[in-house]
Amino acid sequence: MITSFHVFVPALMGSGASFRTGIKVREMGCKKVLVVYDKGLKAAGIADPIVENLHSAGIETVCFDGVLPDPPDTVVEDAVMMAKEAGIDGIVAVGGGSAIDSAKAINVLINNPPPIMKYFGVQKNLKPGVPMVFIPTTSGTGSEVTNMCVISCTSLNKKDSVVSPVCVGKLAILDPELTLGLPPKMTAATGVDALAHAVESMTGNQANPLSDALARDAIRTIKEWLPVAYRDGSNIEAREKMLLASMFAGMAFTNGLVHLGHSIGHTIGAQFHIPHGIACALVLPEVIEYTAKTEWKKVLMICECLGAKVSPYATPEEIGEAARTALRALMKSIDIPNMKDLGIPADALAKIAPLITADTGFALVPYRITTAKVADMLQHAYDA
Amino acid sequence: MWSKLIVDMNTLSVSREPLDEDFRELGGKGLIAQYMIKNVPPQCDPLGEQNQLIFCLGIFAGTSFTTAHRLSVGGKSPLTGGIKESNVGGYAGTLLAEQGIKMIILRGLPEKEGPSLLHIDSSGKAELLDAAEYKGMGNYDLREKLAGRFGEKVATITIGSAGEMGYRSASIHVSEFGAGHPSRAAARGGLGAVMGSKGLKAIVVEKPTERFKVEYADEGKFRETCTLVNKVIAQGAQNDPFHNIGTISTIEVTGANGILPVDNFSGKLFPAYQEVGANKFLTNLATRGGKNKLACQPGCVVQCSNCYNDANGEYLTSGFEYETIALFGPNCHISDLDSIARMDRFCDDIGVDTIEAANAIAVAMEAGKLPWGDVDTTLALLSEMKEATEFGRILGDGCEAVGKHLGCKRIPVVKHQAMAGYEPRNTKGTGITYATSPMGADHTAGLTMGRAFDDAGRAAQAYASNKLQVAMCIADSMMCIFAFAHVVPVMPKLGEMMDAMYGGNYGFPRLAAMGVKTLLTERGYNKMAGMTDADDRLPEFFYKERSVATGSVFDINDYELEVLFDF
Repeated sequence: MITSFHVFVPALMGSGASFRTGIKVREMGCKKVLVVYDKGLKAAGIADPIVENLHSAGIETVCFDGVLPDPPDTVVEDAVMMAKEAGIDGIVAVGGGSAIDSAKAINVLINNPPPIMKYFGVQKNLKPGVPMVFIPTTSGTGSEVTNMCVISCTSLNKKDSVVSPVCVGKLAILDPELTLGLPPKMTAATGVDALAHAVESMTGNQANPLSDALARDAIRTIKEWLPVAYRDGSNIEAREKMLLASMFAGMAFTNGLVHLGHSIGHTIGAQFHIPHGIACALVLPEVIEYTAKTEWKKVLMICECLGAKVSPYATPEEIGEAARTALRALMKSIDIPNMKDLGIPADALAKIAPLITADTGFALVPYRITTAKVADMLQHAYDA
Repeated sequence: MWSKLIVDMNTLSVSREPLDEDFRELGGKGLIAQYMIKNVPPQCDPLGEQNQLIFCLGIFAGTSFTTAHRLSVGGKSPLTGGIKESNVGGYAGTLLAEQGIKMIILRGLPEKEGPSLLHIDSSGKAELLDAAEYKGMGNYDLREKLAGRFGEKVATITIGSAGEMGYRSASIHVSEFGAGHPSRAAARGGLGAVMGSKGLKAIVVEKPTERFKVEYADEGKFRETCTLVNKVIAQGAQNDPFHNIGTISTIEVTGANGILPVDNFSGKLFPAYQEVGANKFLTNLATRGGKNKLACQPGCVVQCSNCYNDANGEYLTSGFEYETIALFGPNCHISDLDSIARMDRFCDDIGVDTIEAANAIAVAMEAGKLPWGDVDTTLALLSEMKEATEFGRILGDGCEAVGKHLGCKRIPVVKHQAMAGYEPRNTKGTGITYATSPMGADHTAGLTMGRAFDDAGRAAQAYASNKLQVAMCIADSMMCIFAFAHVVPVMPKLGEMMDAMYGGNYGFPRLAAMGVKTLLTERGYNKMAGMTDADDRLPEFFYKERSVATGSVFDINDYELEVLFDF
């Protein structure tokens, strides 16, 4: 099969790398940037040093600290007004996926009229925005290296994504020290998001050798270091490894795309207001088991990365089962809750299944699966 | 209340009866599927006594909905051996609706030498008349004679000599609104041969003195919604290359990206594709008194049809479409638009499917029977169909028959039906449609080009094919697919129209369910006719040979095809 490889965003990585933000932004020719983050980040003492760093490089800043989880379109549209009034010529986003995706959506609207929902889907002809620098403070979304953002449409009560070159950053700065303070629950929840990116990108129909290589490395790293980072958040090696795995998985799914696990995650996340990473992890083991029917070679690689023993004579079904077991064991080791733990009523599953098969991302499933079978998967994962 | 005409060719009698209650909410493709599964034995001989030929109107026939008067023709296909629904524009659908006739069912076989013609006069009386004088006549002469006898304003449904001779590629021709040329074809699957086997040469429909009025559950609501949807379609059509140029505009896309078939689906690019492209076409129209933006049926706002004249400004053909141009053109290594127009005219006249005939010529070229790009020999071989020489008869049976006869190893057919003008390695979703459609290799069943991430990639192709195959079952039950393409922004409105017309409050799911049911019924029919999973595959060479335009092979795995219609 012929595939094309895309690595969109150059990265600067290492402890203390965020101190180069000012220099890098100045090199890009920016004079006044919008700094996007949330109030929690300011309280944690992460935002201010970066703002000061920008100032010390002679860059003026306009701060937007109104980022919310599952970034709502209304918030993004407000921020754009602010950015336009201030006449900014660059954007620096500091934070998790919500901050980075908000920044991307703001950039889309800098030179394209609102609302953002007009641009959901793959957009090839948007007017370019301004240079963006992304500084992730969680290890999960990989958004710093992707060409898309996920935004919540408040009027339709659903999430959708804008895929466009306007969402591509000019630089990602990966500084593991910024992730040291992430609480264990958040470490686990964001870490499994990266895991989902890696295993789904490998088993989709758009996977390529580069995305497979990145995904395999991400899976191995997550298997080894996520439990460490979860138990000991101050372990800088674990933090650095996880930040790298998250970026690799982000690069992998930019190429290979994600499929059913994310359709399930988006749907359950929206219905029950569950954090993205957790929502994507709930049925992930069953999803990978299902892909083994046609993508068994890839699932075998996943098993190897997870250290799961598989007989050389194993059938695709057995390979799928081994992957499911190994993925679930990894999740259990970092206390990822199941649907029952989260208080999702068992009788809701049948109602959720049709929403999953109606999700935009469902187009990317490796082979067709009925709503009834999706419901079976949910059932299986419910209290697993 | 709608009527159906039952034309019994055994007894040469016609009866007019109320439409069955079971079929009240159905039309077009959906109606044909349900009629066939209930009334036509799947294992029957397509040209024998038990097969039936059905003409029927769409769900919104009789209303002011744009393109509502497309005519569906159905039966068991002598080409594929499975169920066939082939639909066509032209004027006949409109006049049948005005007559209050939703369905014409042709059954039995005549005992005496035919042919007959079915005449529906302005009072609504339908009778079979002797048509011996028209025997062997081409569609163009026949249309002229019928217009001379019954008036210029009649709509005609005719077959040429190909249908009479039982060629498995024989088409059924409907006269265009306005000019009356018999250039609109229900072309695919050899239904012209079924009409020929029944000894029916023509159906002539007069405009009734009293126009039939359809019943609405809520006429006001229907009119309101229908007006809105018509407006949306008309607005969309303004920027549609099919309106502004014609379907030939597709070449500008497919020629550049390797989707245009070249030299019998070799997978190559054709450097001279623009010689048979939009600019050449528009220039020829402008300098020779030709026309585009013509409506083949009254009330159409897409108006994709055209009238193409030769270098002397004389009428050559109309309804000159992408498929014919792609397949007689680059796929036969021919780049002269006028020659292709002559081939189109010839096929329309004797009444064969241009897709089937052009593919048959391409495999003959590959087998060395004639050189690539040889226009004169192509026209001479096509003439052999009319003369009914031995090879002409084989050619009339289509691409697979010719390929097998000449020992060609690369025969681009699925379910014995030749592929349309899209290379399946470079639009894989369309390849999935070719493979799995109950109709055989049929682009109108779900052309995914431009609808998945990468036409030559695997991601989302099966999804796009599945969704489009259901959507096309809905469209083919109610309207022209070109108008349907512009309904997308207001799709639920079609459900509202359905409710306003037939009652209930089900919305779009009612139509979605009908689409799925139609597909599954058609597949069930084919299964009973003896088809298996092996019939849902492309020919092996698409899996093994690379398209040199893109390096792509058809690498969709069998399991994806097998579960495509799991709903």
